[in-house]
Amino acid sequence: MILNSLLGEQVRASFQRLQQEVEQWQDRAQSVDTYGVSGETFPAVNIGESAEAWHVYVFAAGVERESLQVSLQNNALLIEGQRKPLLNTEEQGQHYYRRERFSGAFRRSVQLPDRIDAEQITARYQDGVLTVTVAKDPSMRPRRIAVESA
Amino acid sequence: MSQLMTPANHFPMSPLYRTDAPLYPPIDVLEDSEGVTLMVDMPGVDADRLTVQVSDQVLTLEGHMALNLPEDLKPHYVAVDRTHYLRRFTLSEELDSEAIEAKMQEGLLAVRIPRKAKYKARQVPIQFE
Repeated sequence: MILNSLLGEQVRASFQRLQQEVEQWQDRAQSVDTYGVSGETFPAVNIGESAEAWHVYVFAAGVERESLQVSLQNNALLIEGQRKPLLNTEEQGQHYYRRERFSGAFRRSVQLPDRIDAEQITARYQDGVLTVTVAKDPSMRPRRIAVESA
Repeated sequence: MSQLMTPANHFPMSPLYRTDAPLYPPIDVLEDSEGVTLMVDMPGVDADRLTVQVSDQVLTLEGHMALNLPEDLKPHYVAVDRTHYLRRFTLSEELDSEAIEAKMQEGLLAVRIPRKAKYKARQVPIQFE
């Protein structure tokens, strides 16, 4: 209490703020770093397989739609795009206070296995995630074989 | 669902694989004389699964990914293995936490926080004689 009366409201507010910032600094240590943070590959990619197809998920928020390209050559899936920096240098009066997000052109390639159906590829960009689905070759898909009874 | 995909090479002892640890989304902060703009990467999150709230000058940005994964999906390579994003900031006294605006577009969250009127830059007219 003595401390409270000695220290003014402003000083106490400063200490409270310091405490909050230390807690938020701990957030970082207790979280999992994600893509886009400098030094890491952008964009992050998940790859999986279902019975029917291969599925590639590309985590790339806010990419310009016109720049986004998906192509397939020799079973290598190539994903390209661009994310513009937020600021033009000409723009007056605005500056970066903090900058962690990736900007610029990116490309990632994923090598798919041999037996795919190159004619059946779909790509869909929603909520900043590009989902590419490549159908497996019909010979690789599970088939149910009817059992005949004699 | 907090687990997005089980990592193929799983190290159970690593803190990275604590499934309750959130993702730490990268941000840009742009400042101008009228206020600040935060840009936050949260791919996979739509506006319905996003929370932006201020309490005691602490701004909390939280989102949950919703991806339509096939039921029988077998992971082969997993860079993102969880769905919960969380980031917190303490706002400066200069910022008006009552007037925050947030917009979510293609997984990119934009939060605009204006300065309180008394902290805004004012042009002082100069009289030339």
